[in-house]
Amino acid sequence: MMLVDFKYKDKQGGRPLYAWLFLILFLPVWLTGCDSWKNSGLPEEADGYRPVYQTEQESREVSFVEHRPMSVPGKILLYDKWLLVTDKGKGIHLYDNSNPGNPQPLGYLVVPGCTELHFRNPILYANNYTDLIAIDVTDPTQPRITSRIGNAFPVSQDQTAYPPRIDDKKTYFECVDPNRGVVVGWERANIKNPKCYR
Amino acid sequence: MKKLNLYAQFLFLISLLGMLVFASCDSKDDSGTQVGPNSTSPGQTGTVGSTARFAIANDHIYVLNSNNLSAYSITNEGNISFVTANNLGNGISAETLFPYGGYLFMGTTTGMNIYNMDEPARPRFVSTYRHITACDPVVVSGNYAYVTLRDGMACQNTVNRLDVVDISNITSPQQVGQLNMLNPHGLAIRGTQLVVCEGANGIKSLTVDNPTLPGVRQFLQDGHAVDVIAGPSSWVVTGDAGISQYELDGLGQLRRIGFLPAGK
Repeated sequence: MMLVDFKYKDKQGGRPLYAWLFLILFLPVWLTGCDSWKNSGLPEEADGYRPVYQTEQESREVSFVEHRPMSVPGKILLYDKWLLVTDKGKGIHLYDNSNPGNPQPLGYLVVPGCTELHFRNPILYANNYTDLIAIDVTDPTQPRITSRIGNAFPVSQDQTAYPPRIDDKKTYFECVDPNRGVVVGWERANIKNPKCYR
Repeated sequence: MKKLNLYAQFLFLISLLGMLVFASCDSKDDSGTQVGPNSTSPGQTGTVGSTARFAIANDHIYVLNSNNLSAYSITNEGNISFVTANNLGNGISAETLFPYGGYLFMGTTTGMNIYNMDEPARPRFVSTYRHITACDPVVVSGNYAYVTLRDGMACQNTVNRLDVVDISNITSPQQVGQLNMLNPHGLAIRGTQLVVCEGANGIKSLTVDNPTLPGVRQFLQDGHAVDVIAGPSSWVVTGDAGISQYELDGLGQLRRIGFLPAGK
């Protein structure tokens, strides 16, 4: 249609009023046409990811639990006899490193969204997603958040904003519904009528 | 003879008892000091790896937030208060901070930036060592900064290199040495010994006796490695498979002494 329109313009050397009307009338049709074409490109079902939700309150809490397996080792910190290792996006492992040949697990601090850490006795500083928090670990089994600064870290630091890509390819996922809480992780799942992808 | 035997038995029992008491004392001591931090050294700061996104110095925390360097006061223990944010400039994305001798050395995508902390709440830009776009943690020792450049998806670069930068004139850092690497990530230095993580390729031990001519002493293809700390009793390396610890001898030879595998 554009083509016809342009041809017409070429002949006449200007664009008459009805051509403009024509354009305006059909513009919505073209746009929605594009949209439905795009929609039809989405699969009915795909191997993808589904968000794992937590309530906002849960996502801001830290707690001490018994040693658990390290899933994705991240950053490290040494302090006195301590060796601290972040588990990407989840928390901080505590070890007694008195004998570097055989560090002893002391326990695990659940710190949702944690990727970065620092320590100045007796306060542990870490990111809780994009927040910077201070955790009093005078008694690590009773961690206490003493301070919080919102949006101190970039969103890229938030490992849960998007699911990982499957084989570096276009990956479908269930769109995030903020009414269901905050996303704390992603689980691989068969997604029906996926509307989101990366 | 009999008396002596009895005496010996008595001694044996006493020593057994003593051992038991000592053992129980020992375990009590352990449970008392193991979990908590050392209460005799409040205010002491932990050591983090070169890829850390934040630093603690002079009662302040410095955090890299996209293209801002934010300073927070922690003078009041446990209470973080925002002080200032420094814009790093357009298109600059910074990822690592290394505090050293009153300065903050920042690894950015376009180069190494140096800020002074004369006024801790307001770090001021001093100079930059500009290189091609790359990802680059930095460590500093004496008059030299050691910067790794690597390629990769987020780094838009095709160079893998270690740059040695003379910072004796802090306002005008000059590259004085370089060494081609495979895929260098985090690094740590003690004295003239440097350990560089080479990603999936393992780790390298280097000597910088002559900083302009860094030399590889050992290439240990010992699993994925992204960052390292020179600790008091070991060099701690983190990678996908877990946490490895090494001893480094005077000849620059690394020996793995411990390993905490992921999944355990």
